[in-house]
Amino acid sequence: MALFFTKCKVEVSTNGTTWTDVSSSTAAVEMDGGERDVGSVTPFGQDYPSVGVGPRKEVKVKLKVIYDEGTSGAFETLRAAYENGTNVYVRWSPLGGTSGKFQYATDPGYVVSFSYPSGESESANPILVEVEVVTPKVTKSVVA
Amino acid sequence: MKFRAKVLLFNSKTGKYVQPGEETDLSHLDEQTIDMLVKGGAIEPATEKKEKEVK
Repeated sequence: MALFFTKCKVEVSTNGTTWTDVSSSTAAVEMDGGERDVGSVTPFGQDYPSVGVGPRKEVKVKLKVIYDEGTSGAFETLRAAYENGTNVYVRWSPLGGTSGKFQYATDPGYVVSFSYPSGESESANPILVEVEVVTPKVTKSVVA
Repeated sequence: MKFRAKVLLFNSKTGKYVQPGEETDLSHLDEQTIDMLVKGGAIEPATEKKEKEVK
């Protein structure tokens, strides 16, 4: 059975304890990075490489945030974290975050890219702001 | 009622993670949800493992 992302619950936090549900002002969660280093060498007399495994790289979580001017919404929370260089945490549950569903949470990260609101006079699209958070890793858990 | 986590759990009442093997109170969940988590292999009754350990 195919699963869909339409009920995703997205939350952000500046301390990992107090979370703000920003699902209604977030339009996308995208992932990048996290590749694991692998090294290889083929010694003399061997027809295939010997492969070693190394650490993972940092993970990039990209959010498309719907611009609003609330003082504690996603836009303001992430803007402040970006401008102050302070920690931000992101967690999301693709199927809505109710009991039994999987939840993915970042370690404390930093906003490395933040696009301030922009647009065109003839556009009918809501204003979207793209935010990129870099974090050491993402942890999966089951909501109970 | 207390349950033992079999996977990394996020207790939505306490807002804290429960590591596999640790016990946690899930009295905020209804019977149907508990049953789903047990059948899904996420938790087990805390007493069940103790009985096995005694044997």
